[in-house]
Amino acid sequence: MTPRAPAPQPPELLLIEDTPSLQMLYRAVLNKAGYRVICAESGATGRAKFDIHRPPVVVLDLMLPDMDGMTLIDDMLANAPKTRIIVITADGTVDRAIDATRKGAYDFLVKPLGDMRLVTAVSAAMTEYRAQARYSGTLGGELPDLGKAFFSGPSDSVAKLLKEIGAVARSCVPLVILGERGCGKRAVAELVHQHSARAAKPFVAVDCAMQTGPALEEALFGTEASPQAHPRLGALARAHGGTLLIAQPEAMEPALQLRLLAALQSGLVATGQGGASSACDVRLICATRQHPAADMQAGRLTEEFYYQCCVIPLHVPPLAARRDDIVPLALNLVAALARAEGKHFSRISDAGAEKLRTRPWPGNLRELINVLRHAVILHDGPELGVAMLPDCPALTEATPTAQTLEEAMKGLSMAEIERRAFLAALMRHDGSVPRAARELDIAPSTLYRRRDVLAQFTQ
Amino acid sequence: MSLREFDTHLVSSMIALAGAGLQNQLPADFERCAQRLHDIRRSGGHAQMQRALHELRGLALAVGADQLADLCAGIENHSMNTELCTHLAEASTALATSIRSLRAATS
Repeated sequence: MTPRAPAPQPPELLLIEDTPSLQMLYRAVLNKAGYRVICAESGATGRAKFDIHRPPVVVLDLMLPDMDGMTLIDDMLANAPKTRIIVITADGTVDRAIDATRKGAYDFLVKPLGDMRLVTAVSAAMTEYRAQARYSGTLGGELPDLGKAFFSGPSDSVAKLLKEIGAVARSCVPLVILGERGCGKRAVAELVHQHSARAAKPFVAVDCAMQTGPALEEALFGTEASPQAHPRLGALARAHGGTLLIAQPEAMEPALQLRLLAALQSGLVATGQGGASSACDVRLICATRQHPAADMQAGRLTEEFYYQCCVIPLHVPPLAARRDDIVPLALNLVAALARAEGKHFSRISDAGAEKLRTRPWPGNLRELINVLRHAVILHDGPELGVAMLPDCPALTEATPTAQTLEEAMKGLSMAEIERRAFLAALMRHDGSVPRAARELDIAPSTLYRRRDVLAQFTQ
Repeated sequence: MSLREFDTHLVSSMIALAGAGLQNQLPADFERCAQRLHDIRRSGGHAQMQRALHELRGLALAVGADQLADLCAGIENHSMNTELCTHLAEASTALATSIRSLRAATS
């Protein structure tokens, strides 16, 4: 007789809820969905059962009779960082739920809990826990090289940011990354992705300010096959299973914001009217320069998009607020840039370090890279000296005051004045062609045709 | 919808899912909350009041007693004062009525 394989154990989770009838109800819903539920009616009991069972998922009511749920989250994640914790809250405590997510909770559910919402959240948490276990080699270890390069240094603001990245990477909640132009918002989004259980899946980024109308819609949703063109997969479908970064979402038309929201909520994306749908399980991260609440108040972001997609803000400090980081950061970057050019730079002179530390850095990390690249291309190492570091010509060219405008234009050709005006507008609008074109009162296509200006801006 | 009303269909489906134990436990939990609120009116502090109201709100939301849940939410953020005591008395009365309705609906 062939020995029978043991039946697979149902997935186990810990439910910490102090109201007996609610505990009974949630347990019944989860049992029916195939989970084995370990119940605890207080923080102390929950903590003890957590130590015994080490469940992959914990469903936790934040308000417990004997202990603050926040303390319990800290405690459990300190001992088992990969645990997925889903917090339950009544609607008045959503702010606390957001705080809990910042601490590393995976998701939060607002009472009253719909059966499906509870089961879906637990199922997603289980899936991510398993995925994380598979990719454990890339998690919980060193930050990826990009993060190391951009966010190395001794400053408190960077230490805080890295801690927050580690915490939110465990969650699936939508993030909004806030920061000045060029401060590394995309790098932060990539770090969150690379540190999450979705790391093996695609990271796809779309900048809403770089294209408008139908072009942006196509970039997000793709196009169907037509006699004139092959079908094109949109960013939502390409990011399936992974992370979608939407830069400057306030530049999206309201109707498009709602279409994007509907796709995210349904988990399905249709390319067009009557087109076939494909799955889009994505974690959404938005990146923008000012707090999206201001964009909502100004009518640029719909309330629906704001409340669904801008849940947890993550602030990326400008380079000027990280002065202690600038020299070690520059040293890492100049070495890497030199290697790419077949050169060798291994130190920075004292005067060079002082100049780097005291420069205003309005263009942040992007400007730092440009300054170092300029030095590496034009000079040889191994020391980066003060004379190799350019001043800020682009800035002074780009933002002449009204009094000096005439002086600044003296002797310049019309083409050069136009080039400088385009470049300055692009800088003021963080590379957004539609916005720069709007300010200059020209068609975006006019600016798109100026490849020389665009190339210079992106250098 | 009044303070004493709740969603009878929702409660029936909850009991069908979780069994007879829930049919007994739900009214017991409402009664326990009512008793705690009465005790707090006499001797309790703000933190105890908030905790009791929070639990009652969770229960009220679960059974679809939205108005009661809203009232609890409104009171949760008040400080202890006479006005609050009046609200608490109203909530306690509404709670007792809801429990009676709940017993009738689930028995």
